[in-house]
Amino acid sequence: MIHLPVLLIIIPLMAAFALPLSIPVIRRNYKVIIAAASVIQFTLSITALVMSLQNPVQYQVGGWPVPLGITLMLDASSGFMTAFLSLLFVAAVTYSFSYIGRGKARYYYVLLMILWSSLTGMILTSDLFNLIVFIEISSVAAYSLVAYDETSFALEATLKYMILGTLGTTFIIFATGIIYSSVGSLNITDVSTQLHSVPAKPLNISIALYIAGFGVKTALVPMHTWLADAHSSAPAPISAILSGVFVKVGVFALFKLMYNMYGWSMLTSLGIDRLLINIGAATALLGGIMAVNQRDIKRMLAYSTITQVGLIVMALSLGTLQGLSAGFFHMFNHGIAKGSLFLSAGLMARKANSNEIQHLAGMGRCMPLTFFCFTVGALSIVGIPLLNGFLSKWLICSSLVSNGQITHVIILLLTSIIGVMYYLKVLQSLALPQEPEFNHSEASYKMYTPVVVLSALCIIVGLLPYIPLTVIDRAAFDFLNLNEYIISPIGRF
Amino acid sequence: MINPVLLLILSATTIFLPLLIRKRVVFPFVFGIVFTAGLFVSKEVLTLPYWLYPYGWQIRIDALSYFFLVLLTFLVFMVALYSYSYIDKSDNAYFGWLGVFLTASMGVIVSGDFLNFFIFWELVAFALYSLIKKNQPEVAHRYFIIQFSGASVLLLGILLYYSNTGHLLVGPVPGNLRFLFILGLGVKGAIWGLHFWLPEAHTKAPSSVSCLLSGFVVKLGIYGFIRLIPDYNLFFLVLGGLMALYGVVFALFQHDAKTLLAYHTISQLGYIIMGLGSGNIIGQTGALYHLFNHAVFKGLLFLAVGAAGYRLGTRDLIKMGYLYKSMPVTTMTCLVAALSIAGIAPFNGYISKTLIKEGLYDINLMKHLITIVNYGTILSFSKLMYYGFFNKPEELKEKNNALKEVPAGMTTAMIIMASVCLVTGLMPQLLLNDIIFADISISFWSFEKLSSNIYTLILGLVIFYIGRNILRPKHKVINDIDYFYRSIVPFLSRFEIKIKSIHTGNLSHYLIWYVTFLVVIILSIL
Amino acid sequence: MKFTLVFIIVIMSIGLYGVLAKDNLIKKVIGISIMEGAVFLFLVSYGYRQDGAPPIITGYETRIVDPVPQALTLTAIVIGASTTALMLGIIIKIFNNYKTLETKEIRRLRG
Repeated sequence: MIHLPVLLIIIPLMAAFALPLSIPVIRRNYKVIIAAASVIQFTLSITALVMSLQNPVQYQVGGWPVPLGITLMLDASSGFMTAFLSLLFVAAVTYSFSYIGRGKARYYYVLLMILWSSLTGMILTSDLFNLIVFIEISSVAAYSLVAYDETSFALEATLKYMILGTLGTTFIIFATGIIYSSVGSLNITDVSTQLHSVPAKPLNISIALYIAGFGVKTALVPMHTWLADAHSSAPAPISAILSGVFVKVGVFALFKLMYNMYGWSMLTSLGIDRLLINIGAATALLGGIMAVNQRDIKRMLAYSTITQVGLIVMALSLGTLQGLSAGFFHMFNHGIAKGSLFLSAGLMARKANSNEIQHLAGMGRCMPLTFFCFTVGALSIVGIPLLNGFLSKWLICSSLVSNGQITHVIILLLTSIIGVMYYLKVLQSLALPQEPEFNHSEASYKMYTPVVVLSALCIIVGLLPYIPLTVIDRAAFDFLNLNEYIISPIGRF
Repeated sequence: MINPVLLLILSATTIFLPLLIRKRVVFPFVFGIVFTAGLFVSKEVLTLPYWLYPYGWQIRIDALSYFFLVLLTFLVFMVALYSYSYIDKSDNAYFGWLGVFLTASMGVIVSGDFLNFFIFWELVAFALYSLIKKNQPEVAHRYFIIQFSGASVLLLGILLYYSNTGHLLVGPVPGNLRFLFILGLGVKGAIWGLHFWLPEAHTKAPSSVSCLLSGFVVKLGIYGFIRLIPDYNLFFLVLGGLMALYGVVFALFQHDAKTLLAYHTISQLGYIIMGLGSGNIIGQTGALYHLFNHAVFKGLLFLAVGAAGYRLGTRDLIKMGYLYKSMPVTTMTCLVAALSIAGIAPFNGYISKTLIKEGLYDINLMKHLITIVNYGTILSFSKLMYYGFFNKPEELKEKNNALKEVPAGMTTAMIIMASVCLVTGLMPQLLLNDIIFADISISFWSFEKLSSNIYTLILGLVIFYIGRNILRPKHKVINDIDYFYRSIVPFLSRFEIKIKSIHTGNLSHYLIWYVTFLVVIILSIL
Repeated sequence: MKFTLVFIIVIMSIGLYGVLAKDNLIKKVIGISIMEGAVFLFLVSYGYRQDGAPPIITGYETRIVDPVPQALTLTAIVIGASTTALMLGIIIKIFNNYKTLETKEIRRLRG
């Protein structure tokens, strides 16, 4: 179990490589490998979470000590994100078993496993260049998965995503180069101890480049333009993962750098926290405005993701422990709610053979269970009480008010009201009976089980938030104090 | 004495009833059980630490909560009885949402801390949205957006209160937050300026839902005012007077019976708010008493008009008439309710209006206002009764004469409510001592009061008889202030279309935005 | 050092110009490759040490340049090559679908 952090990264990767190699032996039953890998990875993630809650685990890849080697840090925040990631991936994999037809499905699972492994790597790593490598791997996997259906919309979306994303990665590499050339080390904690003796101008440029580079992955304004296209053209489980987890991991990595490498006091003196919170507010508003009156349901859900990510960024850029907990909690809640939404929307869209809202009218009557899951997800994001979205909104609002950002609270409430407008409209048109009626056939149990599990989790976390909140409080505390935990051969940093 | 938690659990089980039991007969009985349980709940304060940990739930039942609790359970019981016959046979989910409404309103009343107060406040709006949604999804949608916006303002106030005082217990709010709370509570309570949703929601919703809406939901706003803004007297006096006058004037010229009743709700709410703002115990007791009475007689009015509409197919006063022979029970109960709302002895409206008038003894302007509003009330209800029930237009004679009385469930509910009107009117001490716990002794039955009452009634009827052609219902639409709110919508949608058109889809444009953003940040940091 | 920096900025601007101003997709890809080249140049140039030998241990050097940026650059070149290959593949498929390579025309998803 000492090698747990590396195992978390390697197991899906091994499954991804084993899959094409084993085809001659296994033929059609390659799903066994994927299922086994998912189960193992999920159990390992939960173990990792439990372990990290007791005390953080620092793992040096290859045994190389700190300034030379790559550090994988499994503290409460990484453990929490890994477990959250695994939850959504297990749901997506189970859903994909029935959703993705035969044909080139092997490539789909290979890419999915690579995506899983690289996202886990992004969360765990404490080394700047390792971060870049994992960002690239996950981006390449994501580009290919968005283009999986090979419709013209999917290809166009992939193109835009790819070019914007590559530009972003180029900026991140540039920023890492600046940091390395100023400081001489690539470990986050090591850099943070030596930053005060470095000329300020290159550092400031590197901060700006990091924000721009991660901004593309996270879809902050004005780099959000690819997200609506990509998430609406991808197959439903991929949209769920991209919306539910991928953007959150980007936010997580960005803020890990901001908090631990640069230090919040340095950022406050530059005004970066004001910049980030205003970007968050602008993102939230823009997502809300664009989502009203969309014709395509998945595009509407994608813009809703942009809104919620704006709220998360607003919460995380406060610099307080309260803000961090609120942000992480909203990451979790939005992830499961949006996962439930995209997966059930995928089921309904497949039944109706169209993604457009007007063609989906009346679908709620034919697929009551799926529609119930969709409703739970939608109401959670809108902020109806007794569901988890309301609690995280309350926590974000109270942390904003404690910091005195009243205007941003008003913006948040405004986006909630706009959210009610477009979500409720869709819910109504889905629920009312239409002529001609679709035939009453619910989707197969294999496909709706993950959706039901995610929605049930929404309701449970809404009513009994005790366990997630304690984990998240601990995660936020560890996130702020990450540098205390990393030990070097010369002693604690 | 019943534990409040037990009462809450009991009302929560009514939510799941339609899923378990197919027979509709059971539902009114269960709501009746909740009513009797509510009568015997013990008044205490207890804390549930594990609900929504780490915030917990402080449940507090004092005299005011008990009063509202009795009113709520009684009203829901009556509505359940009425709905047994009124609602379509295929629609049993209605009773589930009724249970949600019951539990959520109960939650608002018994909550002693702001988080749960707010949670149940929003759930009440959501329950009503689902109840209205069956027939009129557009109206329900608009209703919910307005309520949600108001709730967001309330949330802002609660958060500021939390950061000011550091705790979440429900109590009077500091002065600088009052405005936010008035806006937030006022959207539910339909104060002037935020009242525009009320007529539309009432006209389009089913009658049993209107009874709940007018009877209880707007009173939740008043409950909030009593708890949170206890002494803001001048504001409440002015607001109440404005609402009372405005409601009556608009009600006089409506042609749809339910819109008329909706504007009257605004007017009577004005009475209640005036009583709240009067500053002395008599006026405030009068306000609470009028709150109860208004729930009962306005609910009864809605139920009766709904019964007439159930048989007739329409609630338009132009098409109603000649019903007193074919639907006697409906007409009688409607008459009782109309006399109550006009404040005629020996019905309950007389008691509460007298109390409010006595409470405002030193403010002459308000007393004159009340007199004018009283005449307006009598006029508009004469219009309702005459054109709705007693009129005898020749063209409707055969059609309306052939109608039957409404089914037993509806008539039972209406008769019970009418008798409550009469009983609380004849024995005001029942309510005053046992439920409101006030120690008032005013002679209601003095000769001068009764004679001025009869005099008002006769003068009002005479004025109506003289002016009955002016007040004849016509198809005229009168624009309320939501005209202004609706005219903003084109600007907003143009703004939205502008932003959508900026996203051209051209990759070069997207890249240019990106790099410009980066350059701007770099230049501003350097 | 200053001269290298100016040179890098010039190359980066050429790449940026290619990405932003040209409408043809292939030209955008070329622009991205040029920009990545500028970044690689930046990384390697800042690893230079005065009078350093290439970082291959043969036993006769007194000083070597920093090998870490060279490793980073190698990795980044590989990453760049694979993403360029992916981009070109997608562009081929887009050409099959849209029959054009101008970004003005590839606009079915908008708003």
